[in-house]
Amino acid sequence: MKALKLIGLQIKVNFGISALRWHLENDLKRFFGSVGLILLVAVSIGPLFFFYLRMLQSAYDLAGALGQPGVIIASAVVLASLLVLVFGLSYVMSVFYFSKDLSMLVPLPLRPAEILGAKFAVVLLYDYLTAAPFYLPALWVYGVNSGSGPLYWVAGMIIFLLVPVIPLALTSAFMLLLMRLTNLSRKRDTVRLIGLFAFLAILLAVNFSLTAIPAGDERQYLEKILLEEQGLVNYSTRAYPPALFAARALTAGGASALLNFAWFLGISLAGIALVLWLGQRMFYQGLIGASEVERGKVLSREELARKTAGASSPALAIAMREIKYLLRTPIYLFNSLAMLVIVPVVLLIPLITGDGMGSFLSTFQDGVPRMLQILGGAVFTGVMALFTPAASSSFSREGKLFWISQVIPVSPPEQIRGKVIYSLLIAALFVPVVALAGILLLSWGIIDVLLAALAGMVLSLPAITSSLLIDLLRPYLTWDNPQKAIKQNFNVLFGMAAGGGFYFLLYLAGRYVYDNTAALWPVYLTVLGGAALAGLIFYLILIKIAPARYRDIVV
Amino acid sequence: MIEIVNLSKSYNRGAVKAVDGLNLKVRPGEIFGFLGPNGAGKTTTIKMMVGLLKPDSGSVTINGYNILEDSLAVKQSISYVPDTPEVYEKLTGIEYLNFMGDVYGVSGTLRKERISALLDLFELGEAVGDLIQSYSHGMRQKIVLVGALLHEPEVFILDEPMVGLDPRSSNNLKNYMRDHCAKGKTVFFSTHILEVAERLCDRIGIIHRGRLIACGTMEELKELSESKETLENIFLELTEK
Repeated sequence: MKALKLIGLQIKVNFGISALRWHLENDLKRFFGSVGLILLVAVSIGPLFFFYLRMLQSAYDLAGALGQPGVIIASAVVLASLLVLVFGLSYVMSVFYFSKDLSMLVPLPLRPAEILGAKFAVVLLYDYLTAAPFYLPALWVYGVNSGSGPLYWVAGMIIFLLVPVIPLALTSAFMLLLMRLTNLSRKRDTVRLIGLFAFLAILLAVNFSLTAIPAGDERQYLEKILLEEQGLVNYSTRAYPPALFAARALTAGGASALLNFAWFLGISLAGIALVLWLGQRMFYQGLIGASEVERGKVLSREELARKTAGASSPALAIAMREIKYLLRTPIYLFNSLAMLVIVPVVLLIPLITGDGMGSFLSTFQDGVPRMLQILGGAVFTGVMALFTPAASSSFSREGKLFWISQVIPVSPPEQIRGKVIYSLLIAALFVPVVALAGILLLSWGIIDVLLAALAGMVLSLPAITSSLLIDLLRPYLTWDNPQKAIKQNFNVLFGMAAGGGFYFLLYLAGRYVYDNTAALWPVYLTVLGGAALAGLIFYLILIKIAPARYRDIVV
Repeated sequence: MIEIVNLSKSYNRGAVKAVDGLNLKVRPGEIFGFLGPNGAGKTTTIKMMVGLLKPDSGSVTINGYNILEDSLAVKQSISYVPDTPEVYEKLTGIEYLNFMGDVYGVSGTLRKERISALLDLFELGEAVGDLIQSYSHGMRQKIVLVGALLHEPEVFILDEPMVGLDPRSSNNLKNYMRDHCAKGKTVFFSTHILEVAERLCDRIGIIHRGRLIACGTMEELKELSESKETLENIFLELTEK
């Protein structure tokens, strides 16, 4: 009973339900603001959703022709589960171990498993939001096309409730072990971060090896997948085997469906039981003292004098503050730099396994002009700047400490310059990845690398300034765990949507110029000139509105 | 020098008047204590003085600058210590102090001298190399105080500064406030500790339901009260109405 009450309370707090109800009764403007924001998110992902539905329909038609339409359910479950698995890492770490309410909950007469169970329920609810856009459309397309009966829909919805459970249980178990073991370490934050990145890298490597097609036997292998009964379904679920039970539960029919359903349900419940069992034994051991930091050595008079003798400009001081915060907050570092690990691993694995990369690379080397390769590299840096929430959560991350930025005698435009410098530095971290890929895979020279780096920075600029602008307009400052400042911050989503839309326009402009001139320099000028101009315009708007925003924002 | 004229702020679209037509003048060289029951409007007033809240009407002028029109000039000449010491936990004490030195434009030479002296005063030297995350509530309060005093502000504004400080640090802070005012500078602070206000302040203002109900020296306040006794009695009598 206590556990249920705790779950209810956690959901109310984490999803702002009480606050929303209060606004409905007392402040309709804010209530409609919050509801409007949710609608805006739904509308902004609408086109993508429509595109996904159409893709599923085509996939259903194609797979239906091979007698294996169930593959769309299997693939959707795999995709949703893997996303939960990957994104769940930082969610779980943040909600389980860095929520501010833990200092209030631990002294209460509650068992560790009860607190952990409530936290698990909160992350599970967030994960439904991750899984729904991928799983539900597949359920719909398959159900409507196959004319499935009521049982299919009921089972489909129960399976939806179960889809995130197994990956979340795996992530939670890993995190409980990681936090427990590393709590002994002196450099526990660093070790934990290494653990997170290692888990991610191992996950990707295992995935690739499970789905790799044996070199030399590609033809026979593909024939087998396509012609064998349920060959496609079996292949697509190799990346995540429990998805096979879910897919069969919905598509096999009869006793087989029931049996597979029972398996999926059983494994999910076992996953929850495992988490609660581990939680009862390990949660507090990883939690208590998790935020303790080791006392450094006492600074001598000379050291103190040396450390306080230098002065720097306010903009630089702000950029340095942001960098130090990033480096010392594992959640920020992981969310900001996960791509730095994922991309090289994704690039390296096919190279090591020789998984058909040779022919792809030679086509790319010979068929794509060097100028376009460089532009491609620059676009990669720009897109990474867009997907890294450094700028789009820049004000939000300050949270309740925003008061300091409001009272210091540094003009808001100067502070924004510091944030632009910081975001550009984060974007610049992706330049070595581009350079390495260019040098190793495409035989770039030093000039090519420099060009790609410079163009990458120019292309990052509009992503950075537009994201900062979005976050400044409505910063999310009242978060109670650092994950919320990034992952549950609509501004990050809006920043990506706006930047993505802008990049698409740049692509259309570049394409138009190329089609009409058949030359590459005009394309360069259009794309980079457009990016620089837009970056500048967004920046000018930012510094124009900043003084009023810094004055009006109430923490 | 602080001049507050007809300052008002309300919440819930005017339903709750947090500060209601407040008028107040604090002179250079003065320690001014700002008292009032919980929810009387002390913190709201202070937040409007330092630029954290925008008033509905009225003005705040500090050292001749209006907080809304010349906010940077005001901020350069004041320091603010909030009631809860929320600071950058992921910075070490010395990094935080250097950050404050940079943003207030304190030169390296001055910074070196002042940090050393202030760390001695608040007995924080041994912990200054550690992450603020490891600090106790009182230590956080002290690091905020040291950061706030680095540029020797003309006007020092503090919200409940004694909460969390140990007796020695509290005493050191009071002495510092006295010395600060002796140099012609101003201290404005809110407190619930009436003995401190009684002993330390040149003048005291009492705010109740957003309005300043009394303001003056201890002697002047005693004249307003029937009991004419301690500040505690005066406070209780005036805020009962």
